[in-house]
Amino acid sequence: MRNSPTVDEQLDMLGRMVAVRHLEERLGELHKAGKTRGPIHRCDGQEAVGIGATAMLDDEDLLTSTHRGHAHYVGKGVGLHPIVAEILGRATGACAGRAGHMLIADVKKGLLGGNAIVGGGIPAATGFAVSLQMKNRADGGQRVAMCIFGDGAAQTGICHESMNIAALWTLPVIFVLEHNQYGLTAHHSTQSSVPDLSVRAAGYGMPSEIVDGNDIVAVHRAVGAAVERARRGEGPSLIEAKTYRMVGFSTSDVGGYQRDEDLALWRERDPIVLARAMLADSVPAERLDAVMAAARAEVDAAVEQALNDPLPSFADHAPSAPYTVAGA
Amino acid sequence: MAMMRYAEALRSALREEMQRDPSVWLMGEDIAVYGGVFKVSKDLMAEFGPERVRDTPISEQTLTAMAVTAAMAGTRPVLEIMYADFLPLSVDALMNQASIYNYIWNGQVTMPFVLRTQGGGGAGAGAQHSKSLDALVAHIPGLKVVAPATAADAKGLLKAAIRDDHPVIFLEHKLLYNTRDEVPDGDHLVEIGKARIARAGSDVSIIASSKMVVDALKAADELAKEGISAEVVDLRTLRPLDRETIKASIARTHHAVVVNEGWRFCGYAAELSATIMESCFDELDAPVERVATHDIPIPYSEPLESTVLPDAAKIAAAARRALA
Amino acid sequence: MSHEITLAGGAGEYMESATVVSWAAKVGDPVKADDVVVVVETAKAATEIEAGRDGVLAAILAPEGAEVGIGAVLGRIADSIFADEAPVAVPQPAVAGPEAVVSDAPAKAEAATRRISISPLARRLARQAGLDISSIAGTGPGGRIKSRDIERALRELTEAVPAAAPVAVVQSPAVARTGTAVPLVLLHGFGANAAAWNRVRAHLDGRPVLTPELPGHGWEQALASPTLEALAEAVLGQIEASGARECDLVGHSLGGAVAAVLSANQSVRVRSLTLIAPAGLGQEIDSGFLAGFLSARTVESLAPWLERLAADPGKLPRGYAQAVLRERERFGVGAAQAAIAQGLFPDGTQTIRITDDLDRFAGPLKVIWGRSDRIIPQTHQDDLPGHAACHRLGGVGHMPSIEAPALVAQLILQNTRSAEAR
Repeated sequence: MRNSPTVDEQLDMLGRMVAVRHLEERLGELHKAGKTRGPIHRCDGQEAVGIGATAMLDDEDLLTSTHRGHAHYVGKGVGLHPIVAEILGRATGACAGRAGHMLIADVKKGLLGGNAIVGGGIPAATGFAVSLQMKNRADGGQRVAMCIFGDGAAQTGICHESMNIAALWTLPVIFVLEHNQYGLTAHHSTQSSVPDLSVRAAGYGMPSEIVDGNDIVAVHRAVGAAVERARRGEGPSLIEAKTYRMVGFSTSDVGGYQRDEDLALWRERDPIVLARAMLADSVPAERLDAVMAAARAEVDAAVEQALNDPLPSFADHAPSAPYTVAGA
Repeated sequence: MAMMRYAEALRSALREEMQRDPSVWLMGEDIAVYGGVFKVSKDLMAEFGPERVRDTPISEQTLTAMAVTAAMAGTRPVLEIMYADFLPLSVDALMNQASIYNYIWNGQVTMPFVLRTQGGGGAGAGAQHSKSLDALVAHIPGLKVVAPATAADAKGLLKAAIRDDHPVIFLEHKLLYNTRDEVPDGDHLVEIGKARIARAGSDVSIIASSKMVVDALKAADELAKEGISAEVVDLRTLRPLDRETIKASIARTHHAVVVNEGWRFCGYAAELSATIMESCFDELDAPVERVATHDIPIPYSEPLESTVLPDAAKIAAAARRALA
Repeated sequence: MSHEITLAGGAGEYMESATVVSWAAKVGDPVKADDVVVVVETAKAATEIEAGRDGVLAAILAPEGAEVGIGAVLGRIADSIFADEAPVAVPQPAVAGPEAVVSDAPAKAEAATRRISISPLARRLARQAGLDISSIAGTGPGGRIKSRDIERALRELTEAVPAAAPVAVVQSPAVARTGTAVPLVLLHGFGANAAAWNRVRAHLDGRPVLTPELPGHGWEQALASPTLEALAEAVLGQIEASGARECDLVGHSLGGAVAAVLSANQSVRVRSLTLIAPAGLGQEIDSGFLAGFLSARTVESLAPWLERLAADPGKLPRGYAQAVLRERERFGVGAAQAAIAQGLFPDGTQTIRITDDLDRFAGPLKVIWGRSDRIIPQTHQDDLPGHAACHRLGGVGHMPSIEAPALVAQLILQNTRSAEAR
């Protein structure tokens, strides 16, 4: 099937999903132990969207993420150690401790970046796409921009403005709607007049598709088609990946608003379980175990290293930067 | 040197920079086919094509955010926001996006974009089309904010802004577009962050920007008839502020009148006043006098509007109070 | 620590304010705790206020005639006048309203002592010049002291009383209209200004006084060509502007030479001539002083030269060097004075002569010279005409008007009385 991942690609994605899950679990422990600062927004249960949607992107393709972006970071190729070290506020972090877990960027990997203003990534990716379009036309390149955003962000005015402009200017941008059912604590049915947000794409003359967000192969196929379309210069697409947030909004969320039967239903559809099952016929169990164990070990090693890394000291920003220190 | 209108000087800057650098492009409402409601981008689409001179939907919030990231991705957008009154729509992109990335991403990115807009009252445009929101943007770390008063500075600063690797908010004034003055020939650049002495004097320093410089110069003429020698400092750049020129002027005159067309409370003039207090306290022979717009919406009818806005007479009166 | 003399009011007496009638002691006078130091007058009666402790009256903060509120600090007693470094307070205007009733006086004392309103620049200039701001009247809004007030006070810096006492601020111009009385015209010397006469003026028995300033000094514009005759012409203009038709003329040093030239003028008759260490009688003049005075740019480099002016430098006014430098900075007189020195005293040689003028002058002529004058040698008196009276003051240098003001005033008045007697 077109845009289906190979077995090796599936194994790679399985390892990344396991790494993200284990990262979220370790972060939960570290948070309880007081080793992190501020809230942590975990993406347990949503890993297939971030990992599957980014699997076909190159470093020159630019991704905007959300405040719940760990799977996006890992999918875009950012190393686990710089991610963990950033979350632990270390000088060795991806942004030297200045950004924190919601706002990580890595220019070399084309992650630009986490964004904790809900909806902020949508016009950001659209803006990237204008520059990439100009560069592609100048040098024959096929760079694309991708925005992964949630059902909460889909309700913002800038989502409408951005999709209109992206379609109007035929921009090489893929809008990946990671529909996890909740905007903070509010169910999508209290926020949107329609259950399937992708129907809005028709209003912009933009193709769209709904996929099972917990099926990484389906995500990969649908997004892959949209990426190819954008690379061909045919404009933007909207992929709505239906998934479910298995944890609270953040570590500060006391819960109580998600139904037990929903959680049980989605737990059965855990994207990692599904991804492993899809490989069961073609890959020996030992190899799958080894891939998953290696991913967890990599996370543990990154955490151990980061915990021993130095904290940053306040330093002047680069001389070229536009900031002035107070009183200067 | 050539006599040029302020609007022509701006267009000349855009044209020269677009000729010089193919990564420079323009977007904004009604700027391409129509040439901009103040005609600053007139004829540029014909010369550079619709990809580099883009008419946009009425989507200021998104357009500003797009300018931020387009700049990060390797081109140099110049965004026109038709009225400064629409800047509040841009503020999320400026304050939560443009302002932060260079710092929190530890210098990984630069953002060479320019946001041009025009503000100011005196034209009977009413409460939603007459404001001066200098303080709103100058408040934001990581932004440079310029507000030229003359055609020469409009051209030189716009060219410098386009070449700057960081966000520059370029504040024009609707009543300046048709003012004329001498603009140097050739590749005329004015350094961002440098004020100028628009008129030398010895008794009182009037510190102003944009159209208020014109009013301050008129006030200085009036004061001269009374034997008061007023120095007019044209800030040109609101952020980063040229404290040295201000300090040097007040060290000469020992009296300061700060002028800004924005609202008085928490306005840009308040920042000037605080800066002078911090850096020139022992030079002051009188409290700093502040001239700004009344803290109410800009009214429509002429006698109402002229009452709330600063003008030459109010500036001169403030100078007299300072020297009392 | 100094002790404050405050206006507390008598028990049970309703009083909002009082007027200072008289001080029984001068600044610097020793006082006993139970000495009456100041008398104030309320609506009902005069009240005597005692010193409150032994010591020296260190400061008078409410001069005679001042209206003061309850709790106002009138002055301070200290162990010595030099120990008085407490923060200064201002004479307190009357406090209105029932909160000022006497029974509350201690509690209200602090509130009633309002801080001095002074601009930062003025405060800095005053500190640099060593001026006591409590004694300076502010002319800015609400009585704020501005730099112009400090400049005025600096011009009056050579005050006759110790520095802790109020410095009178003279707002009228140096040359005022004098009416019909014959004024005493006092001409200062090179590098000085009208304030040089402040100590002498205190002893002149209320005679109307004019203190014109030489071109390029004080407030006076410089002349393009400052010959002795041109200087005299400019000074004569100032005297004429006062409306005086005749005058008694006193001149010090260069001002003495100018006075001698003016003695023969046709428009204002000079009745008597008193010259103090005048220039123009011999060749020598201290070239080191002239060069050092003109080239000094700092207090440190100027002060040693100024000390040459006096036999006892301790008698020079406090802050003299600062005042000279300040005047140079504010009025730009340095270049003008250098031009005068170059023209009249080139290379340490006096090129001006006043002996002919003095020979011709028929009125009372008196010359006063300090025996310790290091600027112009007192031996120049040897060339005076026979009708001149000569006074040689022991222990005095080039500045008798500063070092022996009472005696100088007495001699001036002697000379003018002999003119009146004619």
